[in-house]
Amino acid sequence: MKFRTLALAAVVFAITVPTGSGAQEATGIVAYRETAMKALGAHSGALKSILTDQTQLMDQVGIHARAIADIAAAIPAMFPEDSLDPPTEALPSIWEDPDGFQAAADRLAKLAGDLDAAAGSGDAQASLAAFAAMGKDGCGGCHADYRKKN
Amino acid sequence: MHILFVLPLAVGVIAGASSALAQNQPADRGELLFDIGGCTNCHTTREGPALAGGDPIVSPFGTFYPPNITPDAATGIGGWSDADFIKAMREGISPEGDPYYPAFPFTSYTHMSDADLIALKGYLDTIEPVEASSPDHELKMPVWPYLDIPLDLRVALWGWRWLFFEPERFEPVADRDEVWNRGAYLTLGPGHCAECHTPRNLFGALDHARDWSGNPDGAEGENVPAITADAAGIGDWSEGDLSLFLQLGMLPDGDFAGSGMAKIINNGTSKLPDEDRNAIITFLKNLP
Ligand code: HEC
Ligand code: HEC
Ligand code: HEC
Repeated sequence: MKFRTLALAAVVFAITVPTGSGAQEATGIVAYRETAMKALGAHSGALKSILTDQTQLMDQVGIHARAIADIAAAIPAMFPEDSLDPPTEALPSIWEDPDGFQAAADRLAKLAGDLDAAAGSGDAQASLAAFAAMGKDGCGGCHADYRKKN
Repeated sequence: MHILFVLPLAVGVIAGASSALAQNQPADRGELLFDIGGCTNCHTTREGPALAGGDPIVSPFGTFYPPNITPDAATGIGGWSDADFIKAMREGISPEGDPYYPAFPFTSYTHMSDADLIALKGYLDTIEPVEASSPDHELKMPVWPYLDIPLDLRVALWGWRWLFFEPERFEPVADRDEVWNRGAYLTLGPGHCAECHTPRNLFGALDHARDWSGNPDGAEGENVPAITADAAGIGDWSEGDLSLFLQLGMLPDGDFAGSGMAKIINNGTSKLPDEDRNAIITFLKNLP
């Protein structure tokens, strides 16, 4: 391998490749929606904490589930056409496929509603399963198609 | 080091939730390898029929169109023998003798055993055959990223292979236990985790000197995080955090993974039996 590496070094010594820019602060609508998304993250973190650790607070699951459902309904309006100012993690596919994006927001609202209902029935296992479905299909489902990691 | 046998209660509970969720647990070894291999992620478009050709992969080397790998004899791989399939997956060579581009991660699948490759082919043979052909790849010279020179680099691939590729097979590491070795095999072989989490050199080959240190210029322009065992990676994640992540995509801060990793999780790690997922976690927690 040594010789090959040397051969390679001889070929590429002068080549440089441009790379991405440094860190940048989000502004305007991008800053708002990233903050709103962080709020969703905080509610999810709180739910995980209740469901896996602080189960004596099961009656608080509904508070977070309903907050997530409310914010979910507001997601499409946070993404006006082509609002792609860096450092956004939003993908252009949001506007190429607006129906799919709307459906992903609706799906989260529905799954958060299911979680609220499961928690209302007091069934811890069902609540946990509903939380898992909400996270994986609701949050992860949209991020899989419409967000890339910066 | 047998940490996984004392996973925190939380993971047990979540594992219970996942079995409540699990509609699609793999039925046999071939399907399991297909899931963790992520074949769907590249070879199926979002709306299209399974494995009949995937969405374009945009890379610094141009745009690749993953081909049809259904058992259709004319446009898929229906006419292939087991030996043809093993040669493609282990050596990255087509039945006609041409080298494949490493956008097809044969560079990881090369670690898979013959028995596993045959089981995987057995599963692929059960997929509905579809007649469909993908467009030709649109390539450009990577070392001059400013110029979009259309090129067929397949001939140049022989040089690339000479420099960067040797067919391999996973060899269990003697002083590691069975769980670690099982995790290593799944991670390095079918799971092809290094293809995204290890950076690449100018020629698009994995830079093993910097294994697992992430890739700021990942496929589709994605910034792939490091998964090393230090603070830059997942050093401060617990086994429970990793288990939740590989089942649901949930990060310790409440965020949920997107794009490339969400597909790996949804089609792959979330479907694995607990023992296999926990073996991957054992391996990850012991990365350098
Ligand atoms: C309908 C699509 C959609 C749904 C549903 C969704 N997200 Fe997001 N999320 C996005 C997009 C797009 C971004 C990138 C936004 C940007 O950077 O402009 C994002 C970004 C984020 C971020 C990163 C914010 C930052 O920049 O720091 C977090 C955290 C997050 N989402 C959490 C969640 C959680 C938790 C849920 C579920 C409860 C969820 N999201 C549901 C589309 C969605
Ligand atoms: C990261 C994307 C990616 C993944 C994951 C992937 N492939 Fe591919 N595959 C490709 C690309 C791109 C090509 C075309 C390579 C070329 O033309 O040189 C290809 C080519 C192939 C071929 C050759 C087909 C032919 O007609 O010559 C086979 C067979 C194949 N893949 C099987 C698989 C299997 C089985 C899996 C899952 C274990 C898989 N691939 C996962 C991207 C991928
Ligand atoms: C197609 C590229 C790709 C492949 C293949 C891949 N990953 Fe990832 N991985 C990513 C990306 C991108 C992220 C960041 C996701 C996010 O946070 O939205 C990530 C995140 C992670 C994280 C979380 C790291 C952190 O600090 O946030 C872990 C752990 C991880 N991957 C493990 C794995 C394992 C194990 C495999 C193999 C089974 C694997 N990955 C295969 C692209 C990939």
